[in-house]
Amino acid sequence: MAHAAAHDDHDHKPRGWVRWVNSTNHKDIGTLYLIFAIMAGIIGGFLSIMMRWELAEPGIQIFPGLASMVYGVNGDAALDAGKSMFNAFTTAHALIMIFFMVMPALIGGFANWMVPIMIGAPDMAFPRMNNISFWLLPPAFILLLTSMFVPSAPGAYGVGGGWTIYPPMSTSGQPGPAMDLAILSIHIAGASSILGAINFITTIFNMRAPGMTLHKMPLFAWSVLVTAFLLLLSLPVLAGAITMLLTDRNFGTSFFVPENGGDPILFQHLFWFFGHPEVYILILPGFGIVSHIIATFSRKPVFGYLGMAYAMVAIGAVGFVVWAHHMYTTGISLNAQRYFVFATMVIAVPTGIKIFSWIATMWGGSISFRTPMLWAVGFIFLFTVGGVTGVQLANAGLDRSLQDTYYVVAHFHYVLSLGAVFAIFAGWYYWFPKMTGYMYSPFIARAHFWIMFIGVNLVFFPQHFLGLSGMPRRYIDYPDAFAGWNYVSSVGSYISGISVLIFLYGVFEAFRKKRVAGANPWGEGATTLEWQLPSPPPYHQWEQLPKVK
Amino acid sequence: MNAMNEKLELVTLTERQKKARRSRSVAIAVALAVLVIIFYVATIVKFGSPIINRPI
Repeated sequence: MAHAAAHDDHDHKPRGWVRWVNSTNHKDIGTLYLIFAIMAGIIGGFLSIMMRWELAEPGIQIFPGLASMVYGVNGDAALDAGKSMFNAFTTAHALIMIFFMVMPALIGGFANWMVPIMIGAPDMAFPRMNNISFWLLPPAFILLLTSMFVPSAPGAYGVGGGWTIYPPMSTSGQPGPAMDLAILSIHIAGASSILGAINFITTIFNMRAPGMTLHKMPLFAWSVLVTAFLLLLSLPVLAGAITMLLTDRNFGTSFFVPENGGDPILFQHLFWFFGHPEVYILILPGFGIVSHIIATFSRKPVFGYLGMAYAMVAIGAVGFVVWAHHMYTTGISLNAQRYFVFATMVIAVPTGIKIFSWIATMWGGSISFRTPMLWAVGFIFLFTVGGVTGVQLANAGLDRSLQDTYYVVAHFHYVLSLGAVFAIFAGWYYWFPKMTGYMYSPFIARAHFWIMFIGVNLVFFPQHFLGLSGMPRRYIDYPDAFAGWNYVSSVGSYISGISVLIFLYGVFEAFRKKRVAGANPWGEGATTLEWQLPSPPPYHQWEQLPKVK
Repeated sequence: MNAMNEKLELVTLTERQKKARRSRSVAIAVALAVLVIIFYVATIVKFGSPIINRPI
């Protein structure tokens, strides 16, 4: 079977650096995205561990010395630069993890690799545009990293306003070039994502194999389709908002400047009109991956296929009309708050459909807890914890006291840092044998899972307690009363860091040992088209299209 | 998404079919790109201009 499908393995692929720099092959570009995401993730993770090191005990220990080393300032200036450096780290950590780690891994990496294969297409609809999408990312990333080393506010370096870059902090509050570089970085990363979204929508609508109707399409392709639409509709709004921010900063406009008749709250509306769909952009491809893994290792078709697909559509649609639940404390009217509470709660319905359908898929299945399944089940648990605290925070009354506390930090890290990242690793361990042809060591992969699972829960579960006690986010210091759980949280981040080293060793070990994985290492539960091809798939697949019955 | 396990039947597109597929792809992409430009411009025009013209 594998040989029949790979009939045209004449592999006239380019050699050397040309293959990678000029590549128009969706698998090569997917690999580039995955390597990029790993590198960005290591940098973003390093920033977070530095922050947790600082927060391990009350007082200011690490950052003044770091600021002195990096920026060459001393004394009180180092203390001030250290404080702003901490805020620059929080901002860069968020932007890197969102735009340069999770999105490139899930959409650029796995979707590029698997969507064309799964829908029976020889490549993406626009291979050269695919190349441009990827190569826009490294300059965007370099711009963001550069912004950390140039002035923002007087005596400060790097964007210190958080990833939300609210004015007036992002306009008159930080006049230096750091913010401009960050805005340009987001613009370029956004352009990359928009091109990618156009490519995925066109590919999925127009390149499916004969017989592959939308209602027969694998759920991962569905998840990418919904994600691409969210990108397409939300990113232009962010681009518009940050364009106005840029002109406010540099060309004397006053879109967000209240003393000249502008409205800083308008930026928050525009930002969150993008920002809330963005969190679904980060998690929806993970939903698709987890659906495949749960079905494969339960040896059953996924429970309620159509319900699962349209639950993602519903999540995407409703995700566009809930943005102001991030803005309960900005003075929006009581009726607006009532609406946004209700609309936000509604999202729990399609999300619940997905959670219960995964459980129903496992119910009565012939479950084998191989490595990808461990990660997928871990995902369901952690995402559910984050989802439950999300329902709490949807309440305007409760949010009034919890907003900007560590409770919110714990919530969105459970959904993203634990949810999305566990989905990424689930996908990695599921498709690694397919992408490389090699099987990793299950022992190392399981060690990675358990150590990371313990680590991230130690980081973020105590942050619920800190938030409930009133500890605000985005500060370098805190009162002694918060010391205990902060220490636990920091220890958790060191353990998580160790787990990443284990992951990297696992990858190295797999390439060194070269255990041949075979076309389908997961058995009869793996039913989608990628498992019909050899591992790794031929450079050009489906030159003759598979006919799906 | 299931029923892929049976032996795959392979079909070859004619040049005409490939060309038609390419034309459809371009049409879809252009439509989507126009949508993006409309959203971008509308964001600035719709939300920006009332602020520029607002009496202080």
